[in-house]
Amino acid sequence: MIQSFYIAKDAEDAIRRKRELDGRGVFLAGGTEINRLGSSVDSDEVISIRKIGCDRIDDQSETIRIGCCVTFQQLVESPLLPAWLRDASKYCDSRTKRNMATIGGNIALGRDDSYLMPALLAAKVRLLTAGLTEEGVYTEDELPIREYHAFKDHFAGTLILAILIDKHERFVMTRRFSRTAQSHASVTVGFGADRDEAGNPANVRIFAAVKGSGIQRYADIENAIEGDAYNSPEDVQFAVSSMTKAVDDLSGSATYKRYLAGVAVSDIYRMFLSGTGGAK
Amino acid sequence: MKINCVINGRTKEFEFDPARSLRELLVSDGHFCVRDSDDREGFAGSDTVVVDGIPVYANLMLAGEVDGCEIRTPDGLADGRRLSVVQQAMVDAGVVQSAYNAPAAALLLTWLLENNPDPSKEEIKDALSGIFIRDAGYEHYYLAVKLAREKIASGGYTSEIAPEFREELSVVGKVKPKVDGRQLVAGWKSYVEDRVEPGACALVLLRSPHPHAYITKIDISEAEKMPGVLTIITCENCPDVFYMQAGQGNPEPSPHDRRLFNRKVRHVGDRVAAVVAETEEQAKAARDKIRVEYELLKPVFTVEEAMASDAPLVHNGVVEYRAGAPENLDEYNKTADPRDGKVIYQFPLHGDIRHNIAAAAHGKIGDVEKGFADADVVIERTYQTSQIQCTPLEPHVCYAKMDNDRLVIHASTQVPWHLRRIVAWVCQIPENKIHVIKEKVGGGYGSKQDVLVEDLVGYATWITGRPIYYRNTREEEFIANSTRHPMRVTVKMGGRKDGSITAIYMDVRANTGPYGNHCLTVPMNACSKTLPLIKCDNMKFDVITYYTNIPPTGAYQGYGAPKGTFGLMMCMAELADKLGVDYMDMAKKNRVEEGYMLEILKGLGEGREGNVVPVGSCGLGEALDKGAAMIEWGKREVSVDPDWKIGKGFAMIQQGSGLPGLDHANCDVKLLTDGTFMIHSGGADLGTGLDTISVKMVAEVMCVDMDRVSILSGDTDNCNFDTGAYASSGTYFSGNASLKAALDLKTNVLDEAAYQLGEDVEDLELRYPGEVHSLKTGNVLTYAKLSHDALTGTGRGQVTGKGSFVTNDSAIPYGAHFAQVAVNVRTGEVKVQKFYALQDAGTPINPELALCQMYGAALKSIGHSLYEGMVLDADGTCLNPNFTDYGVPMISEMPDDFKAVLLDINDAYGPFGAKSISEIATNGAAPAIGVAIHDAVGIWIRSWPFTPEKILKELGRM
Repeated sequence: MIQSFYIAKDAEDAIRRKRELDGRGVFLAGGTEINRLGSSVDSDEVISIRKIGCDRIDDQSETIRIGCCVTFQQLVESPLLPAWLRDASKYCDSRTKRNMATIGGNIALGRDDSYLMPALLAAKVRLLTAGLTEEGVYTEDELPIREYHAFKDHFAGTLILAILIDKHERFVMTRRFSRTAQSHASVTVGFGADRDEAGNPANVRIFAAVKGSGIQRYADIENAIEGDAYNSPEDVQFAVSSMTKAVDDLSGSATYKRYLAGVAVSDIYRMFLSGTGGAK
Repeated sequence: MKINCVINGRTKEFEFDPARSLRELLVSDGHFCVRDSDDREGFAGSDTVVVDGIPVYANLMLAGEVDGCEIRTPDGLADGRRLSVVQQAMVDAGVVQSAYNAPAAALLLTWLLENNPDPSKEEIKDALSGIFIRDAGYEHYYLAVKLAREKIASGGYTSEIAPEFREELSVVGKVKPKVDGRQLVAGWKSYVEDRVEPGACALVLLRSPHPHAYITKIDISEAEKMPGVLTIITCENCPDVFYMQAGQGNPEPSPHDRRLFNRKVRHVGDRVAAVVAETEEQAKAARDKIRVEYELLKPVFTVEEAMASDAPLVHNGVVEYRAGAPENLDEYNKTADPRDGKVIYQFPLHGDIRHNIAAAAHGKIGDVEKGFADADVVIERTYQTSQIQCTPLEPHVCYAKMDNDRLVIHASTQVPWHLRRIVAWVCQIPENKIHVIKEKVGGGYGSKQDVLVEDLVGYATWITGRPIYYRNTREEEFIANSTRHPMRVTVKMGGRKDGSITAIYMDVRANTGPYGNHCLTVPMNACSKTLPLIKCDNMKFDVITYYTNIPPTGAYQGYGAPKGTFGLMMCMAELADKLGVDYMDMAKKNRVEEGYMLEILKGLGEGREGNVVPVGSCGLGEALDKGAAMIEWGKREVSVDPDWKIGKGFAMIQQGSGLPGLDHANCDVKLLTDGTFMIHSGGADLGTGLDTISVKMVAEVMCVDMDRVSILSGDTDNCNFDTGAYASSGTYFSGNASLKAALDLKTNVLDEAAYQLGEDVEDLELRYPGEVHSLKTGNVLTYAKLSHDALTGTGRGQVTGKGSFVTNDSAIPYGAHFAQVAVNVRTGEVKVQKFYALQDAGTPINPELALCQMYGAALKSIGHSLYEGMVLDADGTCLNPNFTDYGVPMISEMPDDFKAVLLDINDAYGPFGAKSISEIATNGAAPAIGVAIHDAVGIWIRSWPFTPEKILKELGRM
């Protein structure tokens, strides 16, 4: 139950307030998670970051900078953004919810049915974060989203200011499986890869958000693809299914989720190989 | 915190807790139509508002965030009493039905058209993607946008809204605005929650965490001392009155097997205690202080578990009969446990609670064994349906108060008179002490046929004398409410190579859960609304209903028919496949036709011998022919993507129009002093347009415009008895009562006119716009003058009409639903590409409303077939008691091509030839889709829902 509400003037004000609250505060962006029934976020103090000036999408020559408070609907409508991000944003099927939910909130939550995370991870986006040193000095830092995701607890006191997408050509594609468009997803996968000078896969990233089991990376399979260890997408399907951690729950059995993850990744991989879909 | 904002163009300043929701702020400012139907889930969209030009959910936004913002709410759309173009278009398109979300939808469409005056279908779909519409489906929302655009562009509509029927009639069969559409779409006070007065007390319930247990001790001493507590009701102090909550005819074909609170809890969520306090917070705080000790019992959840020889008994109390007790009853009761209470049958239902059997029925015609012996192929298949929630947007809600020595109940109900009877019985007071006011019903679908909250709220108000408001949470809607009975339907069917069916046997095993609401009639309906579709001399059925510890079941639109239709039509398709016969040819060869005597009905009465009647008006053949042509039956469709396979299916369907021989409806109509009319109808309009039907009856007969006729309905003090709006009875029973009242009024008006004019009745006629005309003399007497003179000091008194309708005649609606699906063989995904619902509703009195009800019901049943289903864990706790996890279909789940078609059939018994329309439309989707999946990929999915996982397993993919 939320007891108090604070409107931050800027990013520094927000993180200072959070430190003052000694862990009891949470940043409030869109509110679609914090305020909803059954929220995964339990806090009695919220710090609104709606007015800190992070609600724009900017073209910055080599990168596209997306403010943390940019809503899913802004992502859908922006001509600056790659198709994979617009597609992933549309996984949030409710337009009204898309008007509220933010990209920063989605990353910070890192839910096991995250709409965006598998795609963002596969795309190798970078995050601009703000924090305070132990001495209380305001700092900003840029880091790979993979690092933020892997060491999330370490970033508990920081605020994601922006998401930075490199504008270079990269294949990224995502797929989501849910019973209805608004049901929680059983599985959402993201696949990203570049091509080296010889046209071979490089910098492959494969992630899956598996309901009940978190967001998973398939590093061994990435390496195997880059090392040309697989003969076909079917090999990838088998490998992903085998490596996927899953549990039985409302969204499906563990067997089903493993199967879906394998099918989805292999289908995307097949498209990558054939040069169809997914490119920026 | 001081919050400054602009609401609907007016500057406002609030001193308000910024951490509370925006919805709470707006409601506190009088914008009560910013509603909450999902307890802040951010799903259903009842709380939609526009903040700084962007639609948002007000429940998910904090009040403090709107400081400095501009806000629009749905109640700001109308200009005083004049609807906006969009609101009027929604009423005209027929989408304003139970309408709990209609104001929010109007706001979204207004916002859309302001920002995009020429939206595509995809853009309309996108705008409505965050709002849940259960009653009318979404299809006519596209039409509403089209109408609004036409009105804006040219000042009028150019599109056809719906086909019209009966050229010779003025308003019946014509597109006319629903009489209560204005208040509903505008967000004016309509529902129970809008009637709650300041100072009303709150009631909250302590519910059982266990599926099956005795309450061995309940200590309320600490709770009673808590501030604001007025009373706490438990099994220790509630009336020792056994009753049942189903609003059915009296005596009910369901056992009286519960008290307000029982010493035994029988499902997770069962009532343990009710706390009434000055405020909800106080009631909840006191609830936390109640201490309960339980003796846990082993639960049973499935029919199979309940059938087991060593199964724990859900009811093991004393059995009594009000009539027809068996001779060995004393012996039978020797093993009863008094802690289980009683099960009182009003008459024998073939129940045997010592084997968990709540009710049973058996019947046959011909010789099924001979029929199977005569067959070339005999198959036996078992089909399983799941527990489905009605999910009305407005949850079960009640506000009760005392008026002198009378209990006044504001109810959202389909059965005001059953409600009064049941509450009177529970309170042990006479019915004259109770006044039930049926408010607008924000979604019922059968679940508000059951008296699920009014029994308790009424009793608590009666004993405290205080006004009390109660509203189910969404979770309580799932765990303590009426749901569809899960059923196991085994069908054995024999057929010859020429496609004729030689014998059918249906074995229906139903799961009624903890109490026996509708325990006989819903499962029987699985046979009585399916077997009469088939011309077969040898048919037999066995129906057995079991008590278990799942959440309660009861009535839901379609009743038992969706389950029985699923079993019967799937089995027919499977038999056709085995025989190598085209399923359509088999359906046509074996379907009933007008005049065919329905002998099977003899054994399918509701607790008594049924009426054997011939098939009356019947559009079944036309539905099959037209549907087959529309979907191009027999033509194989091929997807460009080889992973997607396409198939087609259909199902024949029927329902009833009320319960002939059981139902009863009454209506009075008065001629007012200025020549206008006032109807008092017992009918309970639950949003479907029943009031509009009554108004049309009177307007048509009396030759006046509809706006000269007003109606009050469903009010037990001011209207006469009506059994209620269930079993598709509204149009046929309440509509016929209104027609009879109108005809009686016409007779009386002509009689009075003859007296006043000094002419013979035979020479007089009624004519538009509301006058009596003499064919002989040319004299004209306006209704106003006639009424005025009748009410002068020398007049003969007010002219009224009275209609009371009972019948043994049936008006059975028929139809066929067709589906084309695409199935992805790699992922198991199913997409309904086409869905065509063709129905014979007799004369559709309100064609645009009828179409929307068909769309709504069909989408519901598509949801039941593909997505929905309550999931219980091993301890009987519902794991998905919210919209998102449960999986209701939204606009994104709509078929790509969705068509509802009204067949032009005139019935002999319905008012102006009308039959029922809505319930039947829930029957076809499951078998139509199931058959289409088989046609696409060659597998039979025999259990709801047809999930991708089940399909993949059947395909051997995983």
